Amino acid sequence: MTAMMTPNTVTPPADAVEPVEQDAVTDEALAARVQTGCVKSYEELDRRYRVRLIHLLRRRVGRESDAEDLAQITLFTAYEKIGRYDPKRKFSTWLFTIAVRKAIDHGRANAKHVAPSGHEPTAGGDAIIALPDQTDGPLQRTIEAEQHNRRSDLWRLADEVLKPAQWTALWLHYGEDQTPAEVAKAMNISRVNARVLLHRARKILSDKLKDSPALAAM
Amino acid sequence: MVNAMKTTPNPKPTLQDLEKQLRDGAQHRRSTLEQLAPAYPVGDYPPRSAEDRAQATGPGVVIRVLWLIGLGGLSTAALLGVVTLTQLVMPNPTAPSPGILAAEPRPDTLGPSVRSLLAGLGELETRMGQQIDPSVESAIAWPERLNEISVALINPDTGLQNPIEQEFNAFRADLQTAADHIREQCQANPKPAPTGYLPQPSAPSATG
Repeated sequence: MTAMMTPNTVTPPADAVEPVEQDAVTDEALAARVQTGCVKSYEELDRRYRVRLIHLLRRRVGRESDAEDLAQITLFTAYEKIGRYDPKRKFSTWLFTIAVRKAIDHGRANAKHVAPSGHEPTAGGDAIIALPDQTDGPLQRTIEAEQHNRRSDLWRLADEVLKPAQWTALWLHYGEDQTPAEVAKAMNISRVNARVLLHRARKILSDKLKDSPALAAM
Repeated sequence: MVNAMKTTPNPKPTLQDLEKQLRDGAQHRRSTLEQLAPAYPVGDYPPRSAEDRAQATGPGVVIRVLWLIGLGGLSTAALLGVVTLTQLVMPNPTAPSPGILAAEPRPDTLGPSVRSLLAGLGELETRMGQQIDPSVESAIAWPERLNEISVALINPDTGLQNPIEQEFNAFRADLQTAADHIREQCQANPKPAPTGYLPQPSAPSATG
């Protein structure tokens, strides 16, 4: 009531009134709460997505430290723009869309320094990224520590042999449960292009597996 | 022989096998990522004030309302302009003198409301990086031009058409009907009457 009378004052967040069992709440419900002013709900979304964003972005921007910065920018942008999010749609797709666009913007800004000569930009922003990891962040260390785990072998192979756009499409589809249409939306490409990226990524991996008895025996 | 056996390629995994491996591996990596989450501190988000929350939807609603009001005005202006134009280009058998009414439609005979509409559409398209030619031809082509504009209004975030698309559709249908009518009239009266009329660019129309 007070808030209604004085619209410029900061109203207490909804979670200040009653605690929220965040773990069982869907991303979409949390985002809807954020729209009503619940900061704690967004902190829960941050916890759920920050590492996933860094993991997604590091393959696109090359450096883990840059990926951390972009994840931060993505999360803050999403927080600012949360009023434009439609809770009927998948929150992850909306967030990944922002993340990929931030990565593309980042790549454009650094294209002159990063892209090798003659490497033309392609759909999905391949030209932007082509640097390998040059820093050793916690994410990289953890993934490398798993090198003896057979379940992670195929994705480590994907890390090595796929182009960033192919890898991104593949991870969004299999790692983040995005449909091809959602992959297309997140990557700002056509659905046909998304399916082509997925097909090519699978074909490359399939060919590599054919040549690698150890991997194929998984 | 032994070497040849060692280098014999394995059969390609089936798509189902590969997808299963990808999902299994992704699930494993996701669990690894979740374990890493505590290593990254959560951002410090300022509380969103009531003003912020209002701003999240406020301007969009206001802009849409303004769009609808503007389009409503444009629709009315378009219909009035088309009526004016039609009156200009159609010979009226009951009129005492053919004069301007029998003249071939030309840009200079456009009524002020049509000019106003053209200017409005021109400004609209200029903002969208396009140009519109203020002539009768472009007037007839409006429905097609509006198609392009409405496509340009597709929201890149949602992939959906803007809600004002409905208003555009109604506007486009009105223009299409009017344009078809003008085209028929022009075809029915291809030759202008020798009136000797020399229109001035700023000359007021008969009805304007």
